[in-house]
Amino acid sequence: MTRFLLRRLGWMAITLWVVFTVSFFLMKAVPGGPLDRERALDPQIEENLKARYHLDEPLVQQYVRELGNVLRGDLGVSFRLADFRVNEIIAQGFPISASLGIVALGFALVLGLSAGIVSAVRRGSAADVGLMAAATVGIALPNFVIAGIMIILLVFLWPLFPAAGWGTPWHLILPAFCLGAPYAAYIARLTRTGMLDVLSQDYIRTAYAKGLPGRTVILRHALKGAMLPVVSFLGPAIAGILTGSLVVEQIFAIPGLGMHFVEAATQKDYTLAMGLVLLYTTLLYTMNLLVDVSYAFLDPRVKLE
Amino acid sequence: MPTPRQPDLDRYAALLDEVRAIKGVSLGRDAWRRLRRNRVAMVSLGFLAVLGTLALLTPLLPLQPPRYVNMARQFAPPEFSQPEKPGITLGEGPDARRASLEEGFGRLDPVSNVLLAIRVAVFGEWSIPSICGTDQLGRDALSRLFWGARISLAVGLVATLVSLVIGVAYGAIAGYLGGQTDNLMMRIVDVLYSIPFIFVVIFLITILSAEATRQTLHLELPAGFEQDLEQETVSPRLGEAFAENGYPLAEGATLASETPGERWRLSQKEGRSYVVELADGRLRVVTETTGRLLGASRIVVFFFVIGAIYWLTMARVVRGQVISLKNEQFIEAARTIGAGRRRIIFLHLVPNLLSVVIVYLTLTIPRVMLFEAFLSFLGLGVEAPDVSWGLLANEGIKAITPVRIFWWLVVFPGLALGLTLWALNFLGDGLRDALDPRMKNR
Repeated sequence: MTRFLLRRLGWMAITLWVVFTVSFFLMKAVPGGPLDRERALDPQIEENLKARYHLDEPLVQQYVRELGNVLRGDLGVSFRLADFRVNEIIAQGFPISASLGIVALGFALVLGLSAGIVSAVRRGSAADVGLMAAATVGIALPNFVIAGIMIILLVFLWPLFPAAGWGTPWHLILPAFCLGAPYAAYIARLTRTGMLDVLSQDYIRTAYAKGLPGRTVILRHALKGAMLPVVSFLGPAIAGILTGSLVVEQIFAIPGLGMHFVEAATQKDYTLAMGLVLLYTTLLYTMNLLVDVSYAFLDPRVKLE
Repeated sequence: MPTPRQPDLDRYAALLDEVRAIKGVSLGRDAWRRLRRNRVAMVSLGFLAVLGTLALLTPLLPLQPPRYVNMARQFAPPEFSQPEKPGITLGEGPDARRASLEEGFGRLDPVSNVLLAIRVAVFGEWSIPSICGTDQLGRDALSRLFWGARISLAVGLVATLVSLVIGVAYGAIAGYLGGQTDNLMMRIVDVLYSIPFIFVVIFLITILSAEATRQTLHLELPAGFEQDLEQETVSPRLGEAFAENGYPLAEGATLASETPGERWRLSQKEGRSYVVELADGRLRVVTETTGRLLGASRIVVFFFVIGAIYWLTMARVVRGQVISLKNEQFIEAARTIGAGRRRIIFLHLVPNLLSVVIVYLTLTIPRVMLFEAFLSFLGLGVEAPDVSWGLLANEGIKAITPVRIFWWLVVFPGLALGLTLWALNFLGDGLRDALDPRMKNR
């Protein structure tokens, strides 16, 4: 296990380094830089600024300096949001995005699992057909379309939720739902298939024959077997929630990392954008690693190589 | 040799007839038969075929011009009556007609121009009424849906094809060569796999639309120039004002509204594009260099960048298939005859991969289209005045206000996207079941 973890961490370091290098050289390869303002700067001022930000050094030296900074955890200064270091912006936005993501994942799991279980147990009934149709809709529609429809229905037609912003739990529910909906749909389908497989097994029949109540059979015995595909889907689901948050945070005006990333992208704030890319890569890799490790715990037949 | 007796001849003749009547079933036909029994997949296939044909023939359809701005009909709900100003004026002679068509439809390639000419000849000024309503600038939503379909579908197809070519070549080579080369190639794929490409792509697109210079100049313009900004082509008055201030404009510069009433993008075919902002009753011009990489526009870079993300899964799948096919007898036979490596890979292995490749094609296209919609939604994808479904969804959501609900701007693009993606997914599932070699002859 330790060797597996060490090897994975090693690959993460290599991946991050590749991302950093490629982004760095791309940034430098493109004309124009972060110091361009709307009015042309006085040449002396421009020189001073360049010297302060080390932009007049040879390329390789800049690269080594940046790499050293990043390794020490210093992601630099944001070029568009004056007076903010990238680390500060991340510290501000991360808890917000994290809570949104966790609640969205929670929605996805709870809704998806219950829909899948109900569908599988009452196979062929109206509930099954209805739930699976809803799941198909959730998969087909992109999350910004779902968000738009939800806003029209639940904010303006029947005013239940606030339209945008952040602060109270009420602000959390609608965005988290829109973010998690496609994954809930996928998980519902996966759970249904898994449950249908498991429910036809002999040991389930034995459990029923022993006289156990239906709920115990399903929740304690069947669910564990059906969970594996859901757990392995969690990796891509988390990746999707991270990327989906870009759009959802824009629509609901939530001041999280997603919105900062899009703004950095459109405002050409390279340091912030690169810092966030590195952060997202790390997050994604860690989540995938956790999912793989938990897989080994859930299914004793799986060996980590 | 003595001639066979008559009963034997009859028996042989009967056998021969029986054998002739049996038709061998190829893999393809077998798969098609299985697919036909899957009703959902057939419905999806039909829907996609119809959509594809309509998208190809869009200039031929009697739709209202998608770029014709008519502020009087702003935010009109779906209606079934003809609009008063149809947007295509054919009256005053060939030049006026061409100008009106260009204003409404933009500059098109030769084939589309021919189709457009046919449409004008057949339908004249009549167009289908706005059954999907109009948007913020009074443009017909139905025609924008169709013109947007062209771009969304084109991006989906081309980007997927790019990823297909790269993925199949890479996977086939890695699988066939095996050993250390295979190991190395797959390690590269693993590293690339764990990079959240979506962020890198956004980063890339940002960089590629870099501004080289940003200079603002304030133009003094004669009264009434606001009307000039509502037109799609730069009026002579505006052109003169620009030239006087030191920014001569080329022939045929176009104006596209980015934020209605505030911001316009002035694009020229060659050279700089400008962003024009109206602030405090005066005009501000911000100069930017166009975001072109190696002479390619953003859409083309788009194709390649998106294609470059999705080839990884294709490469992995193809490699798996090649490894299982590598040791088959027919490959050994080819090697014995003296076929070289390249010939074996591309002539023998690749055709046998077709079934896997087709399935992944149909499952990747929706993901690519979704990604394009996603990027356009964020403003990083297709640029105005081009339309795509993602852009339409974006405009729809931006237009939602608590006072009036313009549901048609959200529902119809959403429906279009949803139905197409749905159909593609179901077709992909159906194809996967149909082409599964374990289900042969069932």
